[in-house]
Amino acid sequence: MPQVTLPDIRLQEYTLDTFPLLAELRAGLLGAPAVICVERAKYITEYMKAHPDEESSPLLFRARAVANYLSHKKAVFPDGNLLPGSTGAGLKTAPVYPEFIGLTIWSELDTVSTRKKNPQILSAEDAEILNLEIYPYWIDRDVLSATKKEFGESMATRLLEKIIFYISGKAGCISHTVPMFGRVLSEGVSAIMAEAEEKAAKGGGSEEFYTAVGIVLEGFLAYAARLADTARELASKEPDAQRKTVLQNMADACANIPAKPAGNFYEAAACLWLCLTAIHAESINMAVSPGRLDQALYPYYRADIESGKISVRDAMEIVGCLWLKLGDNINLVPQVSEELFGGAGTAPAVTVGGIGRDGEDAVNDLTYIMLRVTELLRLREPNMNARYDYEKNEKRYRDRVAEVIAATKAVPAFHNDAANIRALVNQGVALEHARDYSIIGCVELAVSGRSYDASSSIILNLSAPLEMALYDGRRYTTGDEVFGPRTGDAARFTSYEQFQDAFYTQTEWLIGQAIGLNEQMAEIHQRMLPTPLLSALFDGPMESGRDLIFGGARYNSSGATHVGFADAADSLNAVRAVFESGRYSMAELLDAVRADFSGYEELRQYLLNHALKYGTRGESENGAARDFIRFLYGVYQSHTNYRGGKYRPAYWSMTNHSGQGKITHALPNGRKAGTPFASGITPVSNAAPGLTECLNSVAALGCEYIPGSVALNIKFTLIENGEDVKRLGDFVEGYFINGGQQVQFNIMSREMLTEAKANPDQYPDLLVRVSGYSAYFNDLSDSMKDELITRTEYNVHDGRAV
Amino acid sequence: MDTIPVFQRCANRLLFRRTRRNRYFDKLTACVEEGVTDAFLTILLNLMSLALLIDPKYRRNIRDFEAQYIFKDKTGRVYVTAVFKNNKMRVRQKKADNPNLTLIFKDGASLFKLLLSGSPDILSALLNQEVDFTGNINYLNKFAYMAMHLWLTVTGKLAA
Repeated sequence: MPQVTLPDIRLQEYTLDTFPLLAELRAGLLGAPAVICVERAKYITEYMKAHPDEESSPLLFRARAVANYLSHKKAVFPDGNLLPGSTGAGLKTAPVYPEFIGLTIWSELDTVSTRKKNPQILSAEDAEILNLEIYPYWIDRDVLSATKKEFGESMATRLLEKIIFYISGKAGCISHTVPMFGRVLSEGVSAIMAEAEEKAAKGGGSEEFYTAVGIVLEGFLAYAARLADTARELASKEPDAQRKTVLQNMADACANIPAKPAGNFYEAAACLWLCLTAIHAESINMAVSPGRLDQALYPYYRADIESGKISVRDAMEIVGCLWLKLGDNINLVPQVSEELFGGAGTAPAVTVGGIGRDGEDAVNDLTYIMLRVTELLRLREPNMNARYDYEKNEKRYRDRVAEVIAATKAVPAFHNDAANIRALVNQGVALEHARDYSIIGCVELAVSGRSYDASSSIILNLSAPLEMALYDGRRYTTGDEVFGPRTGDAARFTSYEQFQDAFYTQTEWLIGQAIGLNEQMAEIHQRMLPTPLLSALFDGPMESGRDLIFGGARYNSSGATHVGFADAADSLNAVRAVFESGRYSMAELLDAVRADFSGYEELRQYLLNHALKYGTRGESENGAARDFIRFLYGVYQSHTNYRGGKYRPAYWSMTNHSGQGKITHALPNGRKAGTPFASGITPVSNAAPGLTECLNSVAALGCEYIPGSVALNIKFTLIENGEDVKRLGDFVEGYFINGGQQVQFNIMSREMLTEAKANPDQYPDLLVRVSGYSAYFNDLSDSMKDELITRTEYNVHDGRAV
Repeated sequence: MDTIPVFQRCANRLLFRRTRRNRYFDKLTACVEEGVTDAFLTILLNLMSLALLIDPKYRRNIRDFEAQYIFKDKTGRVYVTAVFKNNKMRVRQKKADNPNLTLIFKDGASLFKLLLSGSPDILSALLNQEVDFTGNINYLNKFAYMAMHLWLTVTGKLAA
């Protein structure tokens, strides 16, 4: 039977009017305030306070604490969603994870509910619980405090705490992964528990791990049982017949899943969602990604369709409910995060399309159903990603993805199978596993359920080593304090190579600091935060008897992404232009940069107009970008992490390029102080006048050197008709044939965005791509909005900047 | 139960603590209205210290809390320590060993912005180089909460 049987892959007969339930749920979710939920923190902390004697067995301690929460977790049914379970005890909640960054809002407990940007509602009662019961226990125990206590104050922690050098992801999370749901769906949690029990009884040194798996999964089943009981009770009291049936269905489903195999498409979707809620009891809600849902759920869909149990409409409604559930939680964030990570959801990435493990076209009916639901709902969550294999996938699939992008103006992102599979195989991943890759969070690559990638371990600000090369180990904003190696007074450098050496020296030093700290924090994670529940949903740990955090996954790596790549590359090119032209001296360039080019406009114009610019053919052939990418790859790959995997560079920046740009002084490429950096791997705004050249430049960087992938932002002013959609598809195809890995679009003009900024009420749900994830425009900081407004705009007809 | 022990009540009366607290509050209000100066920190710490003695509910913030803070400005002109021990807070001008947190601030205005501006965003202050610190940032988060909570309470702005 062919996988695509839909008579109309666009599913045009279904509109949001066809789904009044989804329309109602969507309005409810988008209109609901985010509420800070202390339930998880309360039960975890209570258990840990009461059992200090268990600290010596981290696996069991963690498993029991998480199980304590799960077995007490409230069963709530906050709206009419067809799927049971919720991340927190409400419709849209921000759970508190005091192990990580939960304490960063301590100072805001009285004001977080009323802050101007993205308030999060916290009741006075819950604020008191946090202030008096939860936070005091964790004040010396969260990951960063425990790291400093164990390893002492160091340059690496100082750099982290200055925020302007790098961010160490492990202080806030590991998460960022794609679990494997196949076994839970086909065998049920009981089968995993039976295996764990059997292996624990056998001995062999891994008894503690298997016992921990059993304990935490017991907690998971207790939560499911409570959902079943509560749904049944609510059904018995429900006067509305339709709602009564829905509640009864949920009760029946939870009596079966996740303990036993999912019996149909509805149960499979419900089971998958329940697994995510359970994972979030243990791991923070940051980019825990469902993965290739059109593949994982397809057997259930197909069986139900073939047997006539469900219709396409039913399936679409269930998928819509799942999409809405994926947005039921957000991150608890302090105010400053709105600058650095503004408007971020929790980035649960769903991946569709591409090829299968056998190398053949994997697009199926469910792929198109998911695309249509995405088109209709236009939600931030899930972060939608479409894989595309230009040799195996059909053009109509490519163009359908392009059409959804045009309709939503932002999603999904396109990912190139050929390049990404090559990048993963180059990292030692088996070909059939690499073909089964999916996207984590923003753009990062996971070998679905087989790789533990910690893909957000390091966010390195490349303007830091650039400034340290300019100012002999210092940063402009921090004055005389010397951080990096003394690479000399740049004003006295006599060649470009000397400056490049200084920059590379500073970069390598900074990476070393960031990696050193990541390894220290990893030790703390191993001592405090094993993940037996997540491990049970992976390929590897159950076989090896090792938790993911101890290297139990089949493949391991740590990811490092970068902020300010294009500005750094263009600054290198600018320094070279100064040396090669002889028209200006390095001392003059430094003076100009220090002065923010005030009084040096002629020099600035020379740099803007004559230095090579990343994103153009000349730069691609002779510029600094390609060498720099290779240099970074070499440095990272020379380091092996605590789980035995390599460090993998990536280039996505969320909204960090805007936040960090705002507080960074002028740079040699002519960028003035306080202006945003270019996003992700994208060339500097207005530096690349031709789209084809721009795409070729990015592709020429070489996917083998970017195993963590990239976020390339392209803005089209308008997509008017089917021909424009095909043109968009053609641009993507050409870029992919040349080796580009990822591209994401905003279909909106400067005028429209300017108007949206001025009149937010008229654009309540405007969805945009930042650098990696999607966001609602109104949730972004002003500087991030400005960055979006001023991005290079291309005309889809001729690919020229407008 | 959050009650004030008899001896504490007597001491509060004998030492005119409520009157002194009110004076410090007036000074702090004047400081905020007329322009924050370096005296802001000393006034805030003294107000906090008295509030902890007088208000049993507020005192729950330092139950079993032992910590030493150093506050200093970048010039070195201002140097104050706050010691929390035995459910009390003491403010001193002399040096402390092994503080849990040393906060270095640019000037009184930066400190005010960090603690009482209504949006006590510590990371933002760090990002903008208005404050710097060594030690455990959670202690700063806690202190900032206590300062803000006190300010909102005495100004009657605390949400019910």
